[in-house]
Amino acid sequence: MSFDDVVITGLGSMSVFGAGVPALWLGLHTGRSAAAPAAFDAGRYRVRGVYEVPSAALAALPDDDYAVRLSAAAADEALAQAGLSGHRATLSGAGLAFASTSAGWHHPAEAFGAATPATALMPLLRKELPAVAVAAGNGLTGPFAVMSSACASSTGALAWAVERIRGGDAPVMLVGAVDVLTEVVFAGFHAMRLLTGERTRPFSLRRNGFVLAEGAAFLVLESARHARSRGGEPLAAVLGWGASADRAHLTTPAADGIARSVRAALADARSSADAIRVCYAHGTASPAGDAAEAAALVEVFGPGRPVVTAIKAATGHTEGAAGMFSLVAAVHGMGLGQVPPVLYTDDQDPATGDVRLASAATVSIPAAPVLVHSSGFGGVNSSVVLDIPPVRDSRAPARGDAADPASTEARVLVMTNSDGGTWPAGAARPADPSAGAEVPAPAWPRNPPPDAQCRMLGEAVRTALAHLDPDTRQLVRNGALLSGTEFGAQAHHARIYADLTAAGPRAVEPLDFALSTFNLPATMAALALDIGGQVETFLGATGGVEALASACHLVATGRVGATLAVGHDAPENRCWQRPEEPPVPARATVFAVGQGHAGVGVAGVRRLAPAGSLPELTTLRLAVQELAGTDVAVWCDAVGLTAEQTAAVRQWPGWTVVCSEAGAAAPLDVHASVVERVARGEPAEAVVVSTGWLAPTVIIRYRR
Amino acid sequence: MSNSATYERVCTILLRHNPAGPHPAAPVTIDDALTDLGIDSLELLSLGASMEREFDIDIDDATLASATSVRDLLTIVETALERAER
Repeated sequence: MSFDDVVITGLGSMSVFGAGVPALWLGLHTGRSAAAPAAFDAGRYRVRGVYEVPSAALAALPDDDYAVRLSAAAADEALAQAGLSGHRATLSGAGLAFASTSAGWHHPAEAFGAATPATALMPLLRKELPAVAVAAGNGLTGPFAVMSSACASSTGALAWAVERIRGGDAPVMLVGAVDVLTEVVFAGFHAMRLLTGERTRPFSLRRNGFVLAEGAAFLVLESARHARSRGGEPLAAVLGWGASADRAHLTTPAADGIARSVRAALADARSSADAIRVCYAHGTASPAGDAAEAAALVEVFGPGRPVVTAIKAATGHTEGAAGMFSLVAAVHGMGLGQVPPVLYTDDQDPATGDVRLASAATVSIPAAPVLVHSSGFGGVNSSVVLDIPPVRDSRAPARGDAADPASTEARVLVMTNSDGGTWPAGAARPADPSAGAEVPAPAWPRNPPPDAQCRMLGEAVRTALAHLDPDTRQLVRNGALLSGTEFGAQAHHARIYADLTAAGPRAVEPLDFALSTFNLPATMAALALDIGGQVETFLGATGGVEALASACHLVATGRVGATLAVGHDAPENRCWQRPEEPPVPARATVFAVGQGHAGVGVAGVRRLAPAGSLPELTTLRLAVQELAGTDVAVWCDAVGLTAEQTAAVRQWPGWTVVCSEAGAAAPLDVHASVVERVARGEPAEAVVVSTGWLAPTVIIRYRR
Repeated sequence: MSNSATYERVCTILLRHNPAGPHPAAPVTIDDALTDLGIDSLELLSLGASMEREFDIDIDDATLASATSVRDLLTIVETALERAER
């Protein structure tokens, strides 16, 4: 493992101000008027104004799915600025980290099962499609993930990409996000009474919610060494990131959780609070959110500093893409030495008075280093520290350096699933007699109440915690709960859609919306079991396996002492299915990962972007050979392969083909069965390959 | 004095929204605080949607957010109904 500075070399934006970063930057200073949406009829809502991407900006784009068009345009701009447009050789080793919360729901009748989708439409109903299209369109074959952690998705995607570069998995990572205006999400926020149709006024006495918006933003992330070697010009350096879960309430943000996320980012950046000059706040103009964020910033930085801006005043709330727009604005502003003002907030709420808001008068100040913060439903937080390059020349080696003694092998300590399976059998209740008993039943919040999937996930996580020794359990609680899901909690959105269709906006149940984000089951489990570290969710059939791979990375680099990774899904959340798609079990499968000598070691991970909708077999076989040589036993989960591909893989010596059920839990069960074999020494080393439709291929090498 | 039929309907909705189930002891009184009836800020949103459906009214965000008692809810409904009649 090698450490390298991580820099940003390109930016792209397709925003409510039109195409391009310059249009975004100008818009941050001028704002715009809200208007009735074109995407649906808002006439029957109390609130009617939204921000959409202007149709003039779309006219020049090739015809394609709306979310794909926005994403591809922003990605193209970022690659062009980085000087990488059309550089297929460079891009083939590059990866993609992507965030979205609502892509696909712009085809609501089919996405929510009210109408049977045509086969050709099916990819367009998934949040993964824009990422798959951008990766395929640019020939990216490296690490790939689609993350959906509510409105904290983007900063989390950036953090994941930073770790891929720090770990030497790829020299270049494209990082992007898209969210498109959809009626179910509008109706959900409307029912939660978080919307205004006029002006978003963060930290203002007159605030009355946010304007819902849309857009796509991208950036090119690169190792500084790689950028130098090809003559690329760094625009900014990413110094560090942090994440946390509030473990307080699912829809009311908590200052403590935000402050822990910010502090973790500062620690990772090896930056003092005093050094930070500018903060791009989440700033949604909700009284509870503004108050919590203001309290956290004052707690970490002290009163009156740094200068705080909140671009949602101008852009509206672009949901999962919001953090990416803040990151793009922050990098662009750093280059100009400017900070955009907080528009429409000339009457700051005295309760947030210790926060110094950017105004027209503070536009030109030292504009770096910058902290960018995002929070999301479920009480999750994600923060990033940026600076102008060059940096680190005079600093000590960073975490993850080859010389860093903290680098170690992550080990699978415990595995459990919601069907009652636990491993190792003897691990239950270690010598300390109080160990198991001191993990009480999940303390579910009264409101919103947990649904069946939340309960299933929570019980499986609790069982895993109970099988860990008390010290490791505490490490997990401060560490992370990473999750993967293919179908999320879409039953709630499907019900919102059905209620809307049958009886209009008043029929939408706000509690349904509060339970509906893809990250919600994991955040609910974290809340109920007192887990305060990073809680994020990866999408797709291999999402649970990616959660495991990421968990191992966090442990191996010493970022956390121990973590949980979980794959979960339930049949009620699959609203439609592809031909030949296997059944989806209601299941949660949990891996506890830590350090030490127990369990089974994770000796390496490889990730491959989906080539179109399917893995490419030659690349796949080569990746396994590079990871573990040619003599290793390989188990290949062929759920994402065609019948022809599966037949071909069956002929490869040493490869065993299995086919898991649908959803993100079953693929992890394949890993669990191989881990058990390796623990018994049958064989002492093995590789598991996980594939999935529209999903990255994730390859993990295990050894005793 | 308030229309007792409206009051009864508001009380019926209220009890449906107490996550702990119907109020165990005495009937709801007009001066009860919503928090004492198990209505937190999230439940108040759900209750607001129920009242909008039941009475075919629109309740604005700030008005609903300021409600702290049964009386406040009744006032919201009656004001909206009167406005609709005019």
